[in-house]
Amino acid sequence: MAVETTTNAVADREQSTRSEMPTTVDDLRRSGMGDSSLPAIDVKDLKVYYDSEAGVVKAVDGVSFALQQGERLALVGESGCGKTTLGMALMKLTKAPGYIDGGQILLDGRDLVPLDDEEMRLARLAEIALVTQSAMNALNPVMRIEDQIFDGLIDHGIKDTKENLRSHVYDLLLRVGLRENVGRMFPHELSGGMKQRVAIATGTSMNPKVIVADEPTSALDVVVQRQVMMTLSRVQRDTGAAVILIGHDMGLVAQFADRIGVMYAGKLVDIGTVQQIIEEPKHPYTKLLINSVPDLEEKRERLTGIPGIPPPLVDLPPGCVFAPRCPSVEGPCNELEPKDTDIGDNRHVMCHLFDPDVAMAGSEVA
Amino acid sequence: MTVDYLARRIGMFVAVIFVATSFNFFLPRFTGQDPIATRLELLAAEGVTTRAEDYAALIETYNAKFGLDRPLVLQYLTYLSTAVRFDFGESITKYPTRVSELINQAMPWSIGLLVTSTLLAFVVGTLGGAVLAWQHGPKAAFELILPPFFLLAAVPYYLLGLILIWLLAFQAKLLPLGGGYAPTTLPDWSDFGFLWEVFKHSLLPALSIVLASIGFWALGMRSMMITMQGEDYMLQAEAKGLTKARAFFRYAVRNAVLPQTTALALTLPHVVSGAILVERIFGYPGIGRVLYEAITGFDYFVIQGVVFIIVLAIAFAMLVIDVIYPLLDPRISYSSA
Repeated sequence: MAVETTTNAVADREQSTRSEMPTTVDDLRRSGMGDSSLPAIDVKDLKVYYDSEAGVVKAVDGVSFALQQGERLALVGESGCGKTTLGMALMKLTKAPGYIDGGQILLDGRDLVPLDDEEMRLARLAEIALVTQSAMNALNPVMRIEDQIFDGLIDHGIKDTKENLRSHVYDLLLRVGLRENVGRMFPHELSGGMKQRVAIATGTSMNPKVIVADEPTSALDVVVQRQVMMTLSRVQRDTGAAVILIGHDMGLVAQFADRIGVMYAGKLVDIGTVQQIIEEPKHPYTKLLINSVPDLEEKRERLTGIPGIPPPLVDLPPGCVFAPRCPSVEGPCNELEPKDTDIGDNRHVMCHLFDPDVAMAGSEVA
Repeated sequence: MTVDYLARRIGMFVAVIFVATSFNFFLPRFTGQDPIATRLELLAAEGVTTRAEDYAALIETYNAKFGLDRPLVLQYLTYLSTAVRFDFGESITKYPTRVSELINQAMPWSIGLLVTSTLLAFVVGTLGGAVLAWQHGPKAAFELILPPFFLLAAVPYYLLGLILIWLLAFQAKLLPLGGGYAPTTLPDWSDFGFLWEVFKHSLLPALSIVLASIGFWALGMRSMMITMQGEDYMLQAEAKGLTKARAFFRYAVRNAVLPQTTALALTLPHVVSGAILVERIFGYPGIGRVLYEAITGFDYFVIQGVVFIIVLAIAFAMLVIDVIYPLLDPRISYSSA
């Protein structure tokens, strides 16, 4: 599924990134998106495991996807499916006992997995930024907002006058719909929505190529949720960054994203455009997930859930991880692990029903 | 800062001092023990004999001299009016030395010894505890060095003092056994040799305080740092690609040190009371020893004087921390009192 990249292109790109490290606010303002031939982020067969007493927990198991510049991908799935683990792994913020067991995270052609601590530190914020799950507490309570944004810039080699830094921070704040004077405020003087906007301003302060937004609206009320999502949307358009939005609110996610990836038990089982996923869900899990979303027009007596619970990640069933809960389960599902199958239109499904190589009675292969 | 806030705090300051010094006046007087009788017993012990018929007259003279024959209320009013001018009268046991003179002589010794050792233990302990809890730091080295201090924190410092005297002064003869300076020297603060001697004499008492309290500060800081590292802003600091040093000092330590500062502010004023037991063991000429001797000799006026100074110091430290805390932690504002 990934766009092929040649070794040369990777080397060239690395060279140019190094020489173009911004050192002033002006450099930052000029820095746009580079070479558009490469995907902004290209994740290949990423595995994040946790060692536990009960065995190895496969929290993210062989996830692959690619995102073009300016593209917005939403990752959805129920609690514990590995969405947040995946997001943290993309930032290489996986904490022990967790570790990245294998795979590649190609950011504009450069693999992040083998980078050492210092190289990765420099890549964070400048190339890949995180907008965290609970931005309510993501700010240092004893520092002014602008100082917290300065810190990130200064530690990435931006040497500029205080006035220039400040005017940059004011631009960032204005872009997320906050007034300039918010910069001089302390976190406890802001509302939840304002803090979340500050988190977005901080995340975009160095024009990263990729923004990982991990449930950025989870702690907010619905009205503010919508405003924050619109802000994120506007900032994303302005900067041209690719966004990976992690969430479980299908409605909210569908409004924002271009594509949706559905995760189940550490695997990305279905990925396609918002329209494809919502109007013609392919994977049996996606179908059930879409069916469980309430509809404004259709009056239903009872919302349908998905029977059963996700399997324990230390003891995954052989074959397909969804087989125990799947309404279309057949013989091969309990023995053979389904492959990531491209069914056309850049749509990928991990299900035997769509794999031409597996004989299934209900096969949907044309 | 609002004037209102400051006025309220200062009002509190005065009220605390008034109540505490009043207690300090009445408590020793309600014990039923007689300082003059104690004084005469001491004299008798020194071999000064008094004829029985003179004894009563002597007590009367003494009582009149120190004003102890007057009604308690009048004594109390005199005490209040003189204490505000830092005049605590004359010592009963060391007559005619004035109480203020005793305090003035002892205070520099206590403050010099205790401020230095308390601040040293605070800085070393707090930093050590912070590094011990820091996931990205040179943890291994500190895991070896600090735990013995946790053990020492559980040992009372006077016991530690005795062990140190036995090891370093008695057995190894590296340092003097006690005192502020050698009994044969005359104090001369401009003489370098004398200063060196004072330094050597202060090493053991300082060491016993520092060794016993590093663990206290380190444990407090360590647990605060562990809490801080679970905070979302620490994850955010890492996601922002901050250098480890900045994340450590300006994000983790900066927040974890707040409760430590409160503890320090409450510990520091005790410096004026001296570490009574340490000064006693080391025969150190500090304020703690003055208070100890005053209590054993039932010297009302010295007790009143020393305790007044202690109360004043503690109340002042609380006033200072109330005024500066909003500067350390912006979440605390002057208006919400």
